[in-house]
Amino acid sequence: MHAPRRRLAAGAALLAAWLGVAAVGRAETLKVVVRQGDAARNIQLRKEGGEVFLPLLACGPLLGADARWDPATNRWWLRSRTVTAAGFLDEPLLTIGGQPLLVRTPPRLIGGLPYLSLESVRLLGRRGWETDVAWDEAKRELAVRPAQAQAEGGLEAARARTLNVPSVPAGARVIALDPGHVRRQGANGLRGLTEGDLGLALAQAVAATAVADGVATILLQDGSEPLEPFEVASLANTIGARSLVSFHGSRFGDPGITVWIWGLGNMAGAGIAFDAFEPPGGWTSAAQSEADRSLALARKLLAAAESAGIPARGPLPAPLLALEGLACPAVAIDFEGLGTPEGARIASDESLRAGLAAALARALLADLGEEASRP
Amino acid sequence: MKRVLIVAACLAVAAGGVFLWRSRARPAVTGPVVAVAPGAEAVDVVVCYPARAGLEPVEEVRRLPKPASPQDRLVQLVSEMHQPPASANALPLFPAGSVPRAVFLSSDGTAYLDESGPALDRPLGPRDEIVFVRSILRAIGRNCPDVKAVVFLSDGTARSRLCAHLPAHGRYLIPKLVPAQAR
Repeated sequence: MHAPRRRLAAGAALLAAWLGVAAVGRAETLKVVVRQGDAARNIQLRKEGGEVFLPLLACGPLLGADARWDPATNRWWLRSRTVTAAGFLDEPLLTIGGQPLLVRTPPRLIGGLPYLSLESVRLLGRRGWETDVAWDEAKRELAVRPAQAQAEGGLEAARARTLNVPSVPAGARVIALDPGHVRRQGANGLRGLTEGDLGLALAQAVAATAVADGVATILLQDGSEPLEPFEVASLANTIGARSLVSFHGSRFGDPGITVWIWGLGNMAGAGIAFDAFEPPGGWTSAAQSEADRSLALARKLLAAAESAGIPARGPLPAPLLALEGLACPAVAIDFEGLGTPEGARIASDESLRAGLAAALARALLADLGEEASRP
Repeated sequence: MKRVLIVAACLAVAAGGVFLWRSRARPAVTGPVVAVAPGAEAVDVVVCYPARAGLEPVEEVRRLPKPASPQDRLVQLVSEMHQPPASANALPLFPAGSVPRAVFLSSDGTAYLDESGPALDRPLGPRDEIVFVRSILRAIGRNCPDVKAVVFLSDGTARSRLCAHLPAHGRYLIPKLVPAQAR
């Protein structure tokens, strides 16, 4: 009886040992070639659970940065003249130039040395050093090269293009109107309503009505080419706008409009605040200097909407991108409930819309008149 | 005696190997919420959803297994936020089938909520986007007293805008609310 039991125990032990070795064996050392321009050299990577890890100290030369690790705190850095990336071992959060990155596989200690996952190095390379790091599993080759230009579109494309600044008659006081989105874009609702179409229709109707001597009412875009929020602010500031109204729409909410002004705190009265990743006095909070005048303008537009028979709420503060960076009083008008029967009925009623546009135009001109009479 | 020693050594190597493997291959910080097993400790979790009308989120209470840590509590809550609401007056927070990509609570109390692109690239109007953010912050304020602020990420990286109208290049500070457990 003893012999079979011993054999069983020995078999179990061997199986367990094999399992243990197999588990440890998942960590594999890879000798790979790094190609960087015309230069090629060998480094050792580690592969664990399908993820490739690069030694932190090898990442420095790859990205053109100085690599450091403090064993006492487990903090690591990659630092070059203009960029610093940092984080802690075993934490998925990395920062680069103060911006957060979250990786699936955190940096970790392997064999007593810090390693970064290939995912982390790729993200850091792309975000901080305009470098692409490509891994060829078959060739066991790591290619490091200058980042290819991202696909055109959105913010990158906007940053690269030159804006057409609308011409303004000399001496004219400018009301800037922002349709918010291009045609058929943005939130959608019943009766074929879209945020883009509705915003453009309202902006055009206000522009057609807000006519007075010495006043230029300018539409910042015609519904064909989208403008990024910073472009809207740049255009409005460049043409010296005295006030700006941005038109929007939401699928849900209460029928009628809500008038929003820019504000970091107390978003919709809930004690919610936004804290931008930028030093005080930066772009995001530039609109703060016009907060009081924006509030006054919002109250006038609110009263105008009510006089036109449109249910109206506000003014409410929120850190809306459409109102960032503006150097003039500015409000956003949100036509709510486009996806509800009553909200869609109000928003698609031509006569109600015409009445609203006329009332808003009168309020804007009145505000401009008051502004002109101020010392 | 020699055999016993060999067996013990083998078992130690095996245990060490398994321990090393498990500690290195950490599980992802997201996942489905497990049902409360009979007899297991449970907690009430308040999940907030955008209302169809008005700006106040709709609150729903769920009974879920008690999480082991503040990080686990946050992961549990965010996973639950991706479930559709029960109330007819409430709207889903995220598109059907979307799952959080990652959730991380840093030592300074900042929660990083990482969603995949399609979960945020939605044509929400200003009101709908504001109520979306308010619902998330309200739920975190109710359930996670360790969280002071929230940063929204998309596919691991910061983006300039949340959906279309609100910024994502900063932290949303959590309002001080009555915790769900104190209600």
